[in-house]
Amino acid sequence: MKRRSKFTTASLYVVGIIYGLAILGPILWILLLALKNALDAFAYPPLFIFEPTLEHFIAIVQDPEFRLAFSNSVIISTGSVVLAMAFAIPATFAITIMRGRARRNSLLTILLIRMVPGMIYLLPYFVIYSRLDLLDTHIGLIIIYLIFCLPLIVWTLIPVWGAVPLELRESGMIDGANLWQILVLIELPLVRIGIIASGIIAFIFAWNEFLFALVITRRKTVTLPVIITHYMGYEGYEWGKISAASVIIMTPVVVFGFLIQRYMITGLTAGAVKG
Amino acid sequence: MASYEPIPQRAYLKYLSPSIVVLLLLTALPVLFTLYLSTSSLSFASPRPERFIGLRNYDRLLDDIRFLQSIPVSLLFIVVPVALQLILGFIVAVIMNERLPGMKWLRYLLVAPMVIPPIVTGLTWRVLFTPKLGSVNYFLSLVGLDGPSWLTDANWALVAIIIVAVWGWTPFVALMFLAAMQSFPDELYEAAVIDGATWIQSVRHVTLPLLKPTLTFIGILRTMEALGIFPIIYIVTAGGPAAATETVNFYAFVSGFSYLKVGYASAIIVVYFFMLLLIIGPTMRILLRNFQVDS
Repeated sequence: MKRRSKFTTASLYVVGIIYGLAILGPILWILLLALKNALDAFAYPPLFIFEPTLEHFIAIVQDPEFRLAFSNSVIISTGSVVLAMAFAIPATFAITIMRGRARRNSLLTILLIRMVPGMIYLLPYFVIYSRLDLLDTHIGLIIIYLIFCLPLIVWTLIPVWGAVPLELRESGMIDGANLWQILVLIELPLVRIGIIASGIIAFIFAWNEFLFALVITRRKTVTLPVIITHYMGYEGYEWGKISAASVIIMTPVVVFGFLIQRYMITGLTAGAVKG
Repeated sequence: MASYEPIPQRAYLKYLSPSIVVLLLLTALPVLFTLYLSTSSLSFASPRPERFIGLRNYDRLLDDIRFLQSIPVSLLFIVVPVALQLILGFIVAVIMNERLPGMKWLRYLLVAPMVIPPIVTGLTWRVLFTPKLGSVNYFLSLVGLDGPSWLTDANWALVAIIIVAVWGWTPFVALMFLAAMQSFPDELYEAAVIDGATWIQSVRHVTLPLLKPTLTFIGILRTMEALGIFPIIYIVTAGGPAAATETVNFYAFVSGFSYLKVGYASAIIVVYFFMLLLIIGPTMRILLRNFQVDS
């Protein structure tokens, strides 16, 4: 199809491979660091072959603080997805009937809300929460995450749900179902892949979120991204723990990311961007 | 299609309105509250009750060198990383779009930086930039370069943050571009070949013009997100050395949560909000002009 000289092809390979290594390198580095003992970690020139140790992983897993943070992250991320879904599913169900200008405007509004930096909301929530006694609670963080998870889910769901023919609703009505039944019994099963994909995307957001978690949580509800900064504390940086914790925190989201790779991309483009 | 009685649109209102109401409450109220706080003397460091002090917080901002310095840093961290992400992302997308044998792994690899928590990205690069522990300078020494002291030199610290931002966000840009490129019609490329275009000419005259709407869209998206850059700075440089890598939002954070001057920090946030509006205004016009959505 396209004409490419041998030189061009070779250059493309070279650039592609160098770029790939630049992406892979840092991830591998932190993985290796997590497996090195303190002596090997500071060896210069850096060691690529060494006797791996699991001591940092064991130390992390046995650390009650880290275990608490892990369960907090699971609770808060799952809670955020569930709450956001409860709003996003009916909303998307309604947006799919919109056409033209109305649809465009609702999509752009949703996109805009998603893109506003969290720092705008941080101070007022801190002040309000300290007065309402919501600091250091799971629900406090879950409510804030709704601002971001709800638009994320709608935005990802729309292309999937848009493919479901609207005639289904009319025929459902003829069969005597009400709108709510049509949503739950007929259409929800059809868009389940989209629900799963958008749920995972929202989960990844909540799992990774740092700014609000840093300010809103204290001892009780501290999450994984925050706990990891505690290892940068008093007795210098505990690189072993930091790298092992990094690996543990990123593994689930990387696995999720691979699983829904297709949706992360199309979710943002399909149906939304048209030149 | 007109044979059936359509469900009235207003029947859907109760499905959509909860989301609209809740989003409005959760976003508009805090913004209004920030406006109020910015005119108050509220400070968590002082036991005195807050009182209305008018525009005094704003007045003080104008003389605050640290604040004035954070504005160009914010702009730098938008313009340079986003430009590099778009350029590099385009190149990588073109490479992936060629479907070279044995290069499919690249597409899967690119998912990783997109989903890795920013805090972990920051820590990883903090390690890499740390002398002895890290490898950036080691690899530079392999090619005969003497690496700088990344995190203690003000200029190199800025470069370090830009490198991390480019590493973390180029994959997203590249994958979005690739998704768009895959929908470009083959006929155009075939026509270009018939017209005697070289490969690079077909990239320049077919791919690039077709990509323009996506390029605009992603550029806008990245610009807004770049304005919100936080965890990376927090971890890699903590705003230092000597506030050299401190953005407006980072300084607001420091004022509010390290110095506990809530009223003052709110005034910074209000200025920050106007910076955001300056970007959003033209953005919305471009988006409204360029994008139609249909199912």
